Amino acid sequence: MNDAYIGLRSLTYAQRAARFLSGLGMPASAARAPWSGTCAYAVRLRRGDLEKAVERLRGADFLPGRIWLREGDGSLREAAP
Amino acid sequence: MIYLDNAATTLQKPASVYRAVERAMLTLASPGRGGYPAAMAAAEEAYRCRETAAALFGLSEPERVVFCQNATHGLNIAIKALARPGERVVISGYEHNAVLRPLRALEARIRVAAAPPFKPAAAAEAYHRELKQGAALAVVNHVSNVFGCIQPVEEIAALCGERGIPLIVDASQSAGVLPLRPEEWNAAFVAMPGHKGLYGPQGTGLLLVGRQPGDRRIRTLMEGGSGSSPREPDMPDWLPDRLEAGTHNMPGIAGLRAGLEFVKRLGPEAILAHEEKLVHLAAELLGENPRLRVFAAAEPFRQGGVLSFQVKDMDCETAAERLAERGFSLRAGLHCAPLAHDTAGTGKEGTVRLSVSAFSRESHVRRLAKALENL
Repeated sequence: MNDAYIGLRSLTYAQRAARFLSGLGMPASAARAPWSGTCAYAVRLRRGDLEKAVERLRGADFLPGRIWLREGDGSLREAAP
Repeated sequence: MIYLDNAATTLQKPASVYRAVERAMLTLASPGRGGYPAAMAAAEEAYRCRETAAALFGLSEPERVVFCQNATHGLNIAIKALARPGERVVISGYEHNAVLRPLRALEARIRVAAAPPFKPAAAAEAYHRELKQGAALAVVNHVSNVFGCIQPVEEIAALCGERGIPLIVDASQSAGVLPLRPEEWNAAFVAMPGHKGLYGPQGTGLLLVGRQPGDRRIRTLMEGGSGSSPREPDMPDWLPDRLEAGTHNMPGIAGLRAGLEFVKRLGPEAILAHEEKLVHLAAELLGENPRLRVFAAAEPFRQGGVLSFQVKDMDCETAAERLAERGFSLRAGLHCAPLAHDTAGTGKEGTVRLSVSAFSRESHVRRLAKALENL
């Protein structure tokens, strides 16, 4: 719980991004994006790493997309990119 | 049975390949088709295969490793992505029908940079002559599937680079054996089968995509579900999705990764040294037989794991049939490469071809030479 999801353009990019972030000490994994209607893939990581992760992904040309937060009660809400 | 038709398919695979195929069939679903464990396990397997191939071939981005059915499929994607009808395309004199037929189907103007086998300087000079007249594309077969002659890819790549001509490398006989450096060559595409020197199952292949064509310029050969951007009416612009429509061959991909790991563990240099030694031995032993005409490089390092020969008083199909009766598996004929035979002057009768792998042994070659003495 309290995970964050960063949408990426494809599963393969999500996989590479997850390895990239994990290599920087931010544990991450590729996951199906939990929002409906897009069949997208995302990087799932700790919410505490979100801001730094987005910055690092942008710096490495990963083009992060939508960001969603999983709350403690299991609900999802979209966050500003 | 002594299997010496590895240029067609390596029949003997590492045990890890069989295990990986079975495990994949039992446990892996399809990458990009869901977030449940079996789908994500398949996605992880596919990504690891891309990573392993990218590391082996010096590619910085695993997404530039595209899965295909075989080298022919990869070459069709590559050729049809880059060449247009009527355009001038320069190829070597050793191209397989996997190159010739797509080019003919496109109605490209094919120019052959012909040179005798095992004469890399002459081959480079022939490319130079043709390329300076302009071309939309160049294709080179790294190692001939008929004669094993190694083409001077570095020089040809440099000639293409000077003129901004995209280069496609057919690495069907070299992948897993000779060093492949698509980024150093600035190759547009490098196509290879998974089922030969990479020891994967049949039905697998890899297409390495260079930076030169630019992802958006790659025309697709096939369109369909990619597991990404389903609302977009066209195939995604990005790799590998753009070139991978439809469900992946997961048992094949898992087996191919096991094959790639086997090659990595042994080392392509060690496999090359082993194959060179066997082919050199075959050239020596067969060369002592006055009934045989053997096509061998004077310098062994100019030849891959393939060697052709003719029996002077017997047609090649009869020779292969008689060898098969004695337990030897060799291929005779034109090897789907009539151009190579025309270039070398064997187009009328063809040749018998032996081709080795990491599983071939010195004793196999010696027994073949003995059998040929009494054919």
